Amino acid sequence: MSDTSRQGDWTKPAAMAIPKGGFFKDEVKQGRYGPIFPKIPACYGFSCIAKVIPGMEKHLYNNAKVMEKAIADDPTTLAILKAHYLRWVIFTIKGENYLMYQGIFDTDFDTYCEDASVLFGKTGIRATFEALEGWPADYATNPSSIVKFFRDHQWPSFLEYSEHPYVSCEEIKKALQLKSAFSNMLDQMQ
Amino acid sequence: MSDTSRQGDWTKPAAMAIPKGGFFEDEVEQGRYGPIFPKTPACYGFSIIAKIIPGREPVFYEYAKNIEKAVAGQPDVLAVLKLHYLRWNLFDIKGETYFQYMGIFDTDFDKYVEDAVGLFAASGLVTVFENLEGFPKDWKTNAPAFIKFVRDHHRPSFLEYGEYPFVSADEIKKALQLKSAFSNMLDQMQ
Repeated sequence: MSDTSRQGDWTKPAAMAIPKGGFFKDEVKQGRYGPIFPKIPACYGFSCIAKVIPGMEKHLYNNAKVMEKAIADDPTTLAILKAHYLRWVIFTIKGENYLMYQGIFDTDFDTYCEDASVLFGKTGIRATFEALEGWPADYATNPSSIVKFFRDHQWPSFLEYSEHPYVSCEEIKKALQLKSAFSNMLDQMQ
Repeated sequence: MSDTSRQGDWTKPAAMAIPKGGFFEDEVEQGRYGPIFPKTPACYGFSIIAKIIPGREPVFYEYAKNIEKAVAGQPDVLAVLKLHYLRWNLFDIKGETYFQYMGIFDTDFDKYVEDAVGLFAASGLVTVFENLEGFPKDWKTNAPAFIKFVRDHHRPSFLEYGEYPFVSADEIKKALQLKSAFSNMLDQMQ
């Protein structure tokens, strides 16, 4: 994909092929924890996969209910993450359970991980990741260990697609608010 | 999550815990190919995971370039699928490579797959699924076999989150168009 098309035009759906490893060699930017994964039509994102500690599967399902309630009680709970969508999946390969944490968001990968670390004490996210093998014991005092864990378990996409490429969550929400306000205004004019 | 909250209020970010298996027992709807996976705050979606045929990895990267080119040449080529985002990954577990196809869209799971079969057959685009173990060779003329493969390899989320829950891609695009038009109008009033 050309550089120009990577600048973004939300009116045209776009797909982007991504080289193995997740970086475009000619334009790798260094961040605080290593090269920064590029922004693509589906914004920033990740697919982190880690093995579930045997016997902890039920704990993950229970914890999902805790998270659901935390967000229902306070819908802004995860606002700092600038996430569009998040998805948590358990899958089994050869009798072993793995967790996949998928995200589509607007901050870069490392910022997302750092921001997530501040939420861990509040929401039950912590309990989810404590069920994974290799989760750093010192995560509460060492945000960089969380970033390292996610980087080590990230499997970059080789292709991504978006129907409204590069548009941030904020822009989408503002547009929806404007549409709603405009709709209300037209109703009032009847 | 209560029924009411599943009706959707896009102004409040929402998470939904999903039972093991991907269905809410008390409200399973039957579709043409089995129970319909429920709509969540992150709309409809799937995470299809399957082992690739050994040695085929380069085909996936080539496929990505073809899809990128096809969408650049005709941005509405995938319009029938009513997509928000798609993501394709490869990942390794114990020396074997697996493929994941993750989608967020607005039609239900089975309709999406039927539309995808029709689209790929009509457009001449081959599907990268041909490089997965167990994929039916007669998929072009046997949509039910394709759908069975996809259902068998779908791993439902146990938790999903949407920052602007339940909003369709069409609604988002209309809102963005309205915002853009409004912005242009205000510029013209200066």
